Amino acid sequence: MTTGKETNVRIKCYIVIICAVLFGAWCLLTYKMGVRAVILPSPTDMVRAFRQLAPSLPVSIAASLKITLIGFALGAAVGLLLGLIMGYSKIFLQVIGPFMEVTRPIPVFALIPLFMLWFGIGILPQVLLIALGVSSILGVQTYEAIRNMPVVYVQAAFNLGASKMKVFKTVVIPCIIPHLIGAVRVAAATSWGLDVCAEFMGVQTGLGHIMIIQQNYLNTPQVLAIVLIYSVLAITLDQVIRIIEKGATTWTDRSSLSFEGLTTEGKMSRKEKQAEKKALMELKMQERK
Amino acid sequence: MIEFKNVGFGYSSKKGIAKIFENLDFTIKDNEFFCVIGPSGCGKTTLLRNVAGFEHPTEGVIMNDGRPVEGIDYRRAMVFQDDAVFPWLTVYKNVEYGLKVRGVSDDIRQEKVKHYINLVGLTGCENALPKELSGGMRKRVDLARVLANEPEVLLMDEPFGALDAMTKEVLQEKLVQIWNESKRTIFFITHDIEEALFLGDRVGLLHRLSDGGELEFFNVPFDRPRDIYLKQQPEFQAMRRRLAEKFHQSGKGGAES
Repeated sequence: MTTGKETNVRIKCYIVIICAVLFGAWCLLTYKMGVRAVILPSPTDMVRAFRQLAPSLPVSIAASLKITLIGFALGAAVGLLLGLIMGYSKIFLQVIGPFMEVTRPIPVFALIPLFMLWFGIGILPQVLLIALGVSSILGVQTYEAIRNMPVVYVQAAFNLGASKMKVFKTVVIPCIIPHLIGAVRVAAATSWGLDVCAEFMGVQTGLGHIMIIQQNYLNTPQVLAIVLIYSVLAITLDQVIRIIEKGATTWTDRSSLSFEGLTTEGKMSRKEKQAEKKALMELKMQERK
Repeated sequence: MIEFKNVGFGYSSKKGIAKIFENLDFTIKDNEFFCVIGPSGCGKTTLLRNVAGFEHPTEGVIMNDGRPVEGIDYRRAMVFQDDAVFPWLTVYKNVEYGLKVRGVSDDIRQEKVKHYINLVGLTGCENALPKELSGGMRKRVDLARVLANEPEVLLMDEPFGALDAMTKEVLQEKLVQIWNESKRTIFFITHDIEEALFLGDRVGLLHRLSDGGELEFFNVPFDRPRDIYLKQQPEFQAMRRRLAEKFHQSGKGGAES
């Protein structure tokens, strides 16, 4: 048995070792084995790329961040609202539900050309695209979370004198929030992807825009640099969501995985399993007789 | 006073209506502690849910104080078998919930919440979250939350069914004490004969519909206030045995059919 502290140190050691090995492999491939910068840039190329990009970065990051965050916020609000209304009103669900079922499987990315025709090449089509993608994820998840919540809470609330509206505000919403965190994180990640795609095709500013230009020049170091910046942005947003999650779910039991710390005793060995099979066969044979 | 007038209930299924109980015709008096026992599947919980207004009788009518029961009402408050305490609210806010959603003013609310938390013996736990409490304590929160609304009728659906024997006895005694101090009608469902006899003024044994679906009444003669030692008295045990025999006859009949 190891104590928690020892395990933590061990885990950190593993992580450091893996990082070192990856970095070593990168250096080996680029400096020693002569892989070309177009395929895989070396660390030196990357530093240079970041230096070259630096002047244009603040504007580009701000542009991409603006589009993604507005789109994500708008989509999350619409999705949550739609999900809640679907849970609240059966008529709304039965009327709007089929339309949503039909349109939901359409890949949002496929709509990019249409959106540009309809809404021009400004910020609007991109924001709408991201919002659409996010809302279709969150709408369904919200509705499913409402359907899966324990009936007894709703019944208890009604029986304590709450109106339907109050039950939604005070019981349904707090109850489903922990179940939505996963969906919100997926939606946030998707919104970055949608942002990149939208920028590939339209706008004149933003990270995705620089990326597509540099790709035309086969400037892999700068393309990779932008990929890294995107990852940092996406991870930051994800971390923000996780911090909010911690605040919103203190009342649940799910601080750790339920598998943790559980071990079984007396696992059946292969021999024992075979012996059992054999015994079963014999029993069946006897029954036949 | 709750009057049952030829009440029957059935679920509509593909094969037609699956009847749960029918022709129930009886009255629960004001401030009576009435317990119903019966084998599983006899419809006792469904009967209670009909009184609460979660479901509606398919035949006959249930009258509360002369008015037919048409929907859910906080004055007919249900204590559920499942853990119904809201896990996202603290003990205080759980108890306050009914008063708050009904728009009771702040100062009255504060006073009542304090009183009922004290009554169930949870003073000091106001700011705890339900996950930090044991099952028995959560049941106390549930009870305080329902009582804070000061309902006329308490409907209890095997509320102590999931608790261990010791906690159960403590809560039974607490319930009897609370009922003694402020009388109200209680309709209590249980499958535990001892519990029914210890708590009730009158016990109803509901048979399965396949065994005739009759509701048999037994008056409980023991004096109040009752304490937990009543359960060891020979008269108590004799009555328990009499009921157990009836109960098991009913249960057997169901199993055979």
